[in-house]
Amino acid sequence: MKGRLIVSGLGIYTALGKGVEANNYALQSMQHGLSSLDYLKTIHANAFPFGEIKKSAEELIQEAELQDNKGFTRTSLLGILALKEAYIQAKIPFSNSLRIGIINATSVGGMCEVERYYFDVLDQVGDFSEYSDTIDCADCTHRIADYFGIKHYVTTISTACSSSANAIMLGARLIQKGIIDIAVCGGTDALTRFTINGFNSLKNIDKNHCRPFDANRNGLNLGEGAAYIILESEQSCRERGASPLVEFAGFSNFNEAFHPTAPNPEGEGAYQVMKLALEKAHLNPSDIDYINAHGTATLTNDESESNAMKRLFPVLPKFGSTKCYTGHTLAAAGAIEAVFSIQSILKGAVYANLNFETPMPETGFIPQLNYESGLDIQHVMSNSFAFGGNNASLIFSKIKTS
Amino acid sequence: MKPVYIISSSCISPQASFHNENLDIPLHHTNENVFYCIEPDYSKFINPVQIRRMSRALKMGFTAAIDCLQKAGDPRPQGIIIGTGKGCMTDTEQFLHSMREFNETALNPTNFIHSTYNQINGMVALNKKINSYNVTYVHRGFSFEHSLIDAMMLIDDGDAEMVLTGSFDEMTSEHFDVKQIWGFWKEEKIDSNQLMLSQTGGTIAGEGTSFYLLSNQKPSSIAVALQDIRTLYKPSNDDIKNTLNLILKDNEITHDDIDIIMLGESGDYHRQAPYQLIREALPMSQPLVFKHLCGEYDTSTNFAFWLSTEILQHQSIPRYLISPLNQLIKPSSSSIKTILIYNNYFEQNQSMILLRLAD
Repeated sequence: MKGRLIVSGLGIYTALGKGVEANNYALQSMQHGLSSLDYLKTIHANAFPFGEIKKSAEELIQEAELQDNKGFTRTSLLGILALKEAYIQAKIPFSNSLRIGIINATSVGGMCEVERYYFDVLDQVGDFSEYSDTIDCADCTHRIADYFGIKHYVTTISTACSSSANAIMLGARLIQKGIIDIAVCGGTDALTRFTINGFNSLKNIDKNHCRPFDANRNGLNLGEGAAYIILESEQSCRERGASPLVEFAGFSNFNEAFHPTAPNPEGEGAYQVMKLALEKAHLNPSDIDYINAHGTATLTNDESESNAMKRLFPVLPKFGSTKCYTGHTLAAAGAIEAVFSIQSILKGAVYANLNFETPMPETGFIPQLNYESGLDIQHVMSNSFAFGGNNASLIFSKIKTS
Repeated sequence: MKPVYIISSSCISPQASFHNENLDIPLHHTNENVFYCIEPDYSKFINPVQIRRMSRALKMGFTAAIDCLQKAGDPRPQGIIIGTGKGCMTDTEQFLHSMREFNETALNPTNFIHSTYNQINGMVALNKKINSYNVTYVHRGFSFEHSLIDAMMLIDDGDAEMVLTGSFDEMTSEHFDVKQIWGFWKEEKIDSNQLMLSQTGGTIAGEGTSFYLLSNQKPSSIAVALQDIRTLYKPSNDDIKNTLNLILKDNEITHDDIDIIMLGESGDYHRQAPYQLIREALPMSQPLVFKHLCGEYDTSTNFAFWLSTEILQHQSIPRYLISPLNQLIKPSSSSIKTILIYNNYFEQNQSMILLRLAD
């Protein structure tokens, strides 16, 4: 395929709400979605703020209008509900002969259910056969693919916190190679005791609301959610009568090979990946109007990312993190923030980086502090950095009418 | 896409595949319905401090990846792409157990970190200082195949000249028990050498890892080319037949050009039909089965891929493969140019991989 890659549909479900509009409204009102846990049972339920979606499994099953709900994990349900919105916007009929592929991302797949019944299965107490094999990452992708009848390319990526950014990239490449015509790309992750305890054992969860890019930041907040974008060629979009939203202009995946879990404080990997994404998009640093930063509010990430931005951008664009609204949704974060980045272009708006007080001494950077609209946002960069040095950067651009 | 050439490979499996240039390795079998890998001496690849902290999957996968690079003279590929169905199961299990044992307090993060699926990707990159494209596919019976496809795309697009790709999966005794409860394995204990003669449902478990350095440059020695790969999600019989025809047509070969079909038959009586379909569609090809040597696991095609490259390179079918399960229909002196691997992972994930001796 030649020509531009177009985003023709968006779907999202986070602690800010279900759907693009609910999420937009919360961002515009500078209302975060963090709270103590009401649904997931863990001793940490009241110890930290979380971006929990306030819906029970039963309510999510109802929303998804499932006839046979056996074996659907929370991860699968969130994925289905987010993708439904994108399908409707992109005008893709549920039954079709289009060459659609799904590139899904998740960090722990069905662990949200597995961790509840695992020891009962081992002790052979009760029947959990409906959840057989949900321990892996493919189960949720199969459930989502089957719900929407997607067959042409069905795959799952897991590169920790950059997973769904990589899913979006792969979707673009599969279309460019002509392997599929339409790519459903994104990710889903439900909150689990497994990840909460994992990040807690790493001692990088903040007991208070996270403070991205603040000198006194003290770790991240975890969240859950799902988001998908529909990618296709301009021609495919036009022929189907769908409306192009933005252009997917550039992307890069770059491993910085520095440390198993920590980024290079100098931000070498972050610098390279942003630079490569700009090159791919044929853009200069000065073309970027807003950066939706990875901004986890951990000591190391924000230092590394700030240093990289300082090095790459002679004049710093507006930037900020939206993880202070949703929590860090891990494998879903890249897609959730891609949706926010695309909305930034469509609404001409940038989001407030909440809880910021003191600039970091390393850079003195001040992120965007208020919701600002009425802007002409042409190009947005969205960063996702992960364990294992797996860095990713995406660039979305306003569609030129020429 | 243009074919890519296999520069080097490394395979750790339940057979003596690691650093064994002689294809006439003795055959290992099991009566326990589960195969475990023959593990190499890790001390040549991993420092002793690290070895103690690493679970089997990590050690095996990491070692195969590093060994594959070393065999090629330690080049720096422009991509590291790895597939795994279940990641490091031991670490996932241990973290689940310690959450219960210590009531979610004072947990050691090592198991958590190692349970992340992209762990080996990161470790290989870090160890060899490879700053590059780096991705982990975690899609059950497609994990290895989608890694190969990505590697081919990367090379075809000119984004890489060389890519390290491979897959790993481990079986743990606990995961074996869990899947036994869920009916994945045979209820009766069988001799793995008799696997395909079984008339019952279920299969036997296994594990393994193999890595390949793929390149756009044909090596000067006898070279094997990865020609094409197709993945089929929950296909109908017609989908399977059409895909077979398409892969032949797109590569400008006929049914008769397939010298060997490497079949992922798992001895599951109820899952034999698609294999029969392929056998009937390719009556002139030598069928070979392999899961009686490695067991069933998400990325078992990596073992078939390794076997196939060995067969093409050595231009012979190893003696240990020839058994009542694999009777030769052609004289053993016939040349072997083309091998098609066909696998059916529990109906959901099916794949065809075409390997050819490079001209």
